[in-house]
Amino acid sequence: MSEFQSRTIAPSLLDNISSVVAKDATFTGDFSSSSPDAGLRLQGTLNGGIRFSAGGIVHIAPSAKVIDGVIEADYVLIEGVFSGQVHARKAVEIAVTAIVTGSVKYDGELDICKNARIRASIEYTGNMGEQEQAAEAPTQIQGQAEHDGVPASSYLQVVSSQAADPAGEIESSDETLHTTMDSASAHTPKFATYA
Amino acid sequence: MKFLTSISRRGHISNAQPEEEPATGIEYERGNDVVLTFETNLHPQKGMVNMEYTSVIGDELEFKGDVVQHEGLRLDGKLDGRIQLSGNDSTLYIAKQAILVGEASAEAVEIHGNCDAQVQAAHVVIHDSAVTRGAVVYDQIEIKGGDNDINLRRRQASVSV
Repeated sequence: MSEFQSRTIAPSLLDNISSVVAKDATFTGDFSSSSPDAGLRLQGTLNGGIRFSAGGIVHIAPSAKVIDGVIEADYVLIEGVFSGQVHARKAVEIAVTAIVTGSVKYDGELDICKNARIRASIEYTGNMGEQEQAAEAPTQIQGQAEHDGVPASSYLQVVSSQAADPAGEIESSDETLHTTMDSASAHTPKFATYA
Repeated sequence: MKFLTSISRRGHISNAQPEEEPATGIEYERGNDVVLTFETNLHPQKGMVNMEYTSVIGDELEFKGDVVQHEGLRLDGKLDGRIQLSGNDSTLYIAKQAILVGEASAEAVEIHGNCDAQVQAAHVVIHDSAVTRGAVVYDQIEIKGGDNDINLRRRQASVSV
């Protein structure tokens, strides 16, 4: 095939792929397979997903483009342009030519070339030692945001007004600051006093 | 009606055997493994087909949706949707065991498997193992056998062969 050598995914797995989306082809829709031997090489464009429920390998070649793809397989090798969600149950390899946006999930191995362009969330979906962590209580973000019944937006406004105009030189900004603070302390907005 | 015994590689209809041997069993090599075998005797192949421009849906795969492409497509698995091959050399090859449901248009269509579709092509060959339903619109057709319950119609437009 090409000069590219996969580092993490065994080359023999890649060589055994028999299904191909050709270079000039545009496939719109979803591939699926329940065979453990399922394999697909993308060289053209795919608008849609690939779901290999029991094994399988997906190779996104450098010329390939996947748009809004949802890919689920044991092994995923990305060399081309991919946007969407990847879930690799065993290994995901992102090569130097790859451009990835969306999310990447993996249960086993993750291999990213240092020059790959990725703007995606990466999540390990295996066991993170959750038995110990589950005992800790989650932090109460909601309680902090609405402290004493005053909406968080009031605080944000005060802070931003002070930051933008520390000396209080601008009149209108100063008024806004005061009314905001008034309403915050009284717990009832008094917009009528403005008129 | 003229009885067709063969369609030569160039697509000419003749009652005699074609002068040149049809290109049966073209094998495509990748590495040491022969991965594909096209058995077309209908479509002029320009030497080795560039595999980069030939899509393959393997027998373990199922695809639901539309395919738009210039050159060839070999279907071994299942496809439910629309296939549109636009090139002058485009061949849709439906292998034994393959299942096509929907619509297909190409320059040439070769059916060995199950085809329940609206097929439109300049050249159509239905082989002995085929099970066909639906309709076929063609310029030239050859039926070698098979379980066929189809609506056949010859395309009106004159096509140079």
